[in-house]
Amino acid sequence: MSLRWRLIALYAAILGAVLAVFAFVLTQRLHEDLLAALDRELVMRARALAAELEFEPGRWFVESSSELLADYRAGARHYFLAADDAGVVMVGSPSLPSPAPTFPTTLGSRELSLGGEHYREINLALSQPPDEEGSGAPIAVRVAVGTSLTGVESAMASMRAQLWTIGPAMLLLSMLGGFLLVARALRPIEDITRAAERISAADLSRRIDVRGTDELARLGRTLNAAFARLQGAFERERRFTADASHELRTPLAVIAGNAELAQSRERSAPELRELFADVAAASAQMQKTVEDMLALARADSGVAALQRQRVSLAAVADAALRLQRPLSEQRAVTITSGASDHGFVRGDPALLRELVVNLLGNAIRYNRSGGSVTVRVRTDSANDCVALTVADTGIGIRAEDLPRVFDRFFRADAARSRGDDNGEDRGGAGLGLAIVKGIAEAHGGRVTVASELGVGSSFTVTLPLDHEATGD
Amino acid sequence: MRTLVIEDDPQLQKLLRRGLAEGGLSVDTAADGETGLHLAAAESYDAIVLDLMLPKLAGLELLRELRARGRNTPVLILTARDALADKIAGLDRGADDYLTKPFAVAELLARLRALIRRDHRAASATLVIADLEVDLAARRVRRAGRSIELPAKQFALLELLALHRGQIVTRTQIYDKIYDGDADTLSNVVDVHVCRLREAVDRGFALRLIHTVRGQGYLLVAKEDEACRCAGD
Repeated sequence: MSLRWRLIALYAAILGAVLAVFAFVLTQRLHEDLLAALDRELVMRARALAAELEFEPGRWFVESSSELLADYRAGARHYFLAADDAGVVMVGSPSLPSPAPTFPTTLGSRELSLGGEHYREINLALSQPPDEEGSGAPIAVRVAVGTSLTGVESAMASMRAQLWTIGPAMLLLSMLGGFLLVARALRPIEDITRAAERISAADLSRRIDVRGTDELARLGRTLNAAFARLQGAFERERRFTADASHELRTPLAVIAGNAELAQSRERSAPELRELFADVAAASAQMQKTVEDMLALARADSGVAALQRQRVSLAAVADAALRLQRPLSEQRAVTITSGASDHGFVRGDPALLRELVVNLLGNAIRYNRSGGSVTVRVRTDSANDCVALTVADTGIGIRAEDLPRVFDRFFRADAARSRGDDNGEDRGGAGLGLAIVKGIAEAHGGRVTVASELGVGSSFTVTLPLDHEATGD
Repeated sequence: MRTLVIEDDPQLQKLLRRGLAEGGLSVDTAADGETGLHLAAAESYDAIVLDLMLPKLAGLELLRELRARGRNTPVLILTARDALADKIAGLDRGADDYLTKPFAVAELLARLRALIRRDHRAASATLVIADLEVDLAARRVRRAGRSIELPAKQFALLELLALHRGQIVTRTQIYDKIYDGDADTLSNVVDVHVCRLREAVDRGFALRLIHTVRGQGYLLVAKEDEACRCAGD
């Protein structure tokens, strides 16, 4: 069943229940009111009757000339009985229902059925003066006055009949209104659904047309934001694939092309050596790219696969420094390191070393000859973190490139051509800083960069401090 | 034939330079988009090999700008991007051919020859002028059914004249396309090479094909003309 029909059915059920309760309470109250009015009338009749009673020893009667009796003749729907203290009936109305009612044993009102007709009867105990002058000891009198309930019953029946007609009609009308309301409420949702159906992987740039500020507009905006994020993710994925294929296919083209040239004609040994040197260089470049991509994948698979142990970031930095020593000597770059303390963090020592190696590698490669690199590890207890800073005196990064340096395969233009002026290889496919960012974030940390063109760059990795056993 | 290779990867650039040179093309290179655009717009190339992912100016932007400047040099895009959308975008922006990495050098050469040929309205790789056959693919020459051996520079010269058959080719054009504008090349080297080529192609035939147009340049056409004496011979 569609949402529309479910809503309408639910609406009808609720409305039907409300109407039923309303009708029940209404008829109940009406019945009670009618009976109360009837009881008041009966009490008045009983008092009037008692006042008209004449007492003679052994006989009570009502003067036949009394106007009161007009209400109790045959065909009238009332009757009365008057009894003495012991409940012995002394006088009754000229006409009584058949079968005749017995005198009630209890005071108050009761209902009784006589010959298929329902009666309401009230029974009062009164005391009357024995004569008109009101002298002598009062006589205890019990008066029972009954009246037919036919009037009340027909009023109730007519009321019920009206409710049974009006109720369903109201229900139907309300359901029609409900149908229109639901249709109106669902139309924007259908619009959104249709718009969302048109947004596919092939065309993620489409958006839902959002108007107004109501709940549906909010839904539309929320969906649009989700689509924007999805489009961003697709775009990044597409760019990553394009970049990765570029970085792998270019050296592959070099390898294949040089192999083809080597076979295309007779060549001298030095010529062949040159061709194969290029093949070797391209292979090395490919290997580095593949390794970087694997490192990135490891950082991506992230938190779950992470081996977590207590690690001194200062010790990790020292190990990385030893690994990069040959490169720094080759480029005549001096490295100074300073650690004020151990800088304990929780993490994967191999990944953290890779992080520092990448930062150091960049700091050395993009440095000037004779430049320097400073590595600092500092525990910031106030902010509960350990900061590792790698600063260089290199070529720096342009301000407009700064937000993108951590993007995968991003190389600032100045460095994009891998060979620098001396034909030296800067190395890497532009994944190093992406790996740094990936590893830092997998450890719950982050990396920031500050740079001035021509002066140098400074990268700071901040990782959460490991408190456990700080005493050692 | 003079080509421009715009490719930022130094090893690939080196491979292309070698491969194209061995295929009989002279090669200029640019390692970034800006330099590439500057060269492509300023010089007259017979074909351009263009990478798409370039520093400073992306390949497609370069192409758009080049076409906007009214240069319709044949452009072959050589890229790692093999998505259909990329190919369509490249060709629609004004590229003449699209080849994805990795590629066979032989295929790249064949495609470049086809582009150059088409640019000169030649139907096939073998150009025929009277009884002279110039096979641009195999780089062989036959006259009246007999094979003629030519050194690389002379073949390049004949190729240039054959592609412009019936049109005057100026000495500056020859100088630009065959000698890479090499400053060491004296201009009379052009004359020397033309005369040697004429020796090889026309000697012993009644119908002379290579003609000198005084004060303008040279012309390859099946038409009677006066003979030429080669300086230095």
